Amino acid sequence: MKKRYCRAFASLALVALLLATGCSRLPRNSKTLFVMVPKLVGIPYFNSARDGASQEASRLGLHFFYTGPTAADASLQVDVIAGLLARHPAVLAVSCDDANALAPVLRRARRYGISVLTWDADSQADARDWFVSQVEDETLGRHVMDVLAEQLGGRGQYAIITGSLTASNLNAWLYWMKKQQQEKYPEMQLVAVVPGNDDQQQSFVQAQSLLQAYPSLRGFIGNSSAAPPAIARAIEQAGLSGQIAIAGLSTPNLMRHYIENKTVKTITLWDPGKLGRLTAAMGAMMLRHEIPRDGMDVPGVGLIRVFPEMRKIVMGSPLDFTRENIDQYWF
Amino acid sequence: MTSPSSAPVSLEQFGNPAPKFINRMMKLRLSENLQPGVVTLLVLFFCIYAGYRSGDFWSALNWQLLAQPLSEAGLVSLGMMFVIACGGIDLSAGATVGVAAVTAGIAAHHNFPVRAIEAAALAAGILCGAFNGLLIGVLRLSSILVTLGSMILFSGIALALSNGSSFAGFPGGLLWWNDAALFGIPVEFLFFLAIAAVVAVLLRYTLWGHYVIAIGSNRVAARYSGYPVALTLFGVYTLEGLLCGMTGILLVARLASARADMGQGLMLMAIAAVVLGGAPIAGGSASVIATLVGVAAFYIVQDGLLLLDVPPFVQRALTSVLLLVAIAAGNLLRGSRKDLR
Repeated sequence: MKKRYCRAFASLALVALLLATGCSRLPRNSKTLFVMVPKLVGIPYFNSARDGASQEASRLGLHFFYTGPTAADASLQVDVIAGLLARHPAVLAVSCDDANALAPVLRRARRYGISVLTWDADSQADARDWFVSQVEDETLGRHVMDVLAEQLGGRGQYAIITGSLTASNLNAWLYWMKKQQQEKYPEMQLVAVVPGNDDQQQSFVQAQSLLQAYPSLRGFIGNSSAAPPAIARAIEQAGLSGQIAIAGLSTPNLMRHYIENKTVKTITLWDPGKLGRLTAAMGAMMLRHEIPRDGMDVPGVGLIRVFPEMRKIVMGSPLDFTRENIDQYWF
Repeated sequence: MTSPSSAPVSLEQFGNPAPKFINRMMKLRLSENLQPGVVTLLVLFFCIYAGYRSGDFWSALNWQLLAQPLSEAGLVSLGMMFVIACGGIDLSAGATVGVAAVTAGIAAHHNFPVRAIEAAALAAGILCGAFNGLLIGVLRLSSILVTLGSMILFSGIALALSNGSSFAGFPGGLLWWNDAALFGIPVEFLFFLAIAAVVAVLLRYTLWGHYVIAIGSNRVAARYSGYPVALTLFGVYTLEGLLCGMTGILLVARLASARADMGQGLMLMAIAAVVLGGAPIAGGSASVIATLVGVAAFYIVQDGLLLLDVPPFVQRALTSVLLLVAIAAGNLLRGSRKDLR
């Protein structure tokens, strides 16, 4: 009996040895290792960011490694980052699922001498070195309102469907949308701001009831990526395509159908590929101990803005997707 | 049907059952359950391989960082081990962790002292466990149905209490659980080992542990033997709740924040760890060592794969392969022993 086990284990050991000798050792490239962690892996938005970052990183001579949790769960993300710390990367760039939950592990990374960047979504300010932001709240909010006003000719009633009423980034954009309208388009009238809770079905129901409640409604803003496609569907079903303007923030993949059938003219977001590229460029700068300058030109990204006191860099202007350019984007 | 309580059997009739039981368990542990051994061997091979390929695998830092999530999952697994040993299952474990975490968050929000925050979280965990225990033990409802319901109930409560957002601003005294270390070993891990020792004594050297195994082996027989089935089950689920409460505190300390969805992944993880240790899912057998091996195997392999540059989705697949291989090997080896057939 015992002999049999011995033989089994010996053969297992042999297999393991063969496996080990068959593979080369991984290089310990910790001086140039750039690790990028998204909120979750496997969705088009973050895949675009990864592609941009890996291109830029290889151009700049960084070793690029991209990994993250398989679900958008802050504690899973923390576990992944804790595991990565043992590799002692030179730069760690994280899109934080939860600003508070990620802070301790990022602080720990900094204690170990790792340069920490946050990108796309920030953590607490003292937990990272720099935040690479896609676009400033003010620019984005004002821009979305401009897009709507242009379609409406600067007059008429409009409604806003937002994500949740407690999301701080959405509320900041909302504030600047309203401000831009009050300052530049006094003949427009905001009739309602309702939450769609980042859910297409709920946003759809909200859009339908708004259409019934305000018959003279001429425009919608969808202030969360789930809202614009839901509004477009409600307008299509009501047979009002082309009569009611839609502006807002969503991804090309969600809006492709409605932009191609002309229900929606323009939808706004930013280019995650560019954001990834800028994050990698920023990582390279940190390795060289350079500090970014306001208005500097980053190759493939353009002019960036720098806020040294907040340790934040901003990629720049939002990106409009229309029938002409939507085929170039997949996220 | 005659009520089982009409013919109470005093334990003294059999002499003291505990030593007999210990003998039986020792025999069982050494002869029948080979799976922890198989898993340990597989993991050892993996460690050698990972250590060869990645220079960072054997660094002290890696094991320090690994020990913390392992301790949290380990605590839930120990509770789950009792639940499975008595023939049940607890689907609400993860949600209970969420309730405890959110309770700690609310307590911290009201500027409670550290001990009070911890007590509040533990109390929340115990209450959740006692709720399950009441329904399953006293009302004799099916554990899978009750905990399926309470999983949704508890996560709903946690979401409602926290309004879906996260709590921050915990006092430094609570974060001590994450920061402190003794000779480089995280305090969290030492705490986990201490609890594991206590739980091992509970399981092996107390009458209650004997009842748990007896109920898992044959609940009807246990009832007819006059064992306090309801009380034992109530205790099992309450203990699981208490351990989930502890996990909640440790998670809160490590993340310095509290969210309703915090324990989400832990429930399946705990069930898998117990099964990986070779415990029969139908109950009737349990070993603390085997459970420790199961949970450690999961975390060591996951961490090693991360250091080996394995893509996240492949990591998941490979980890589950480990589970299946270990279970298959454990069963095959057991089957090859004619004396136990």
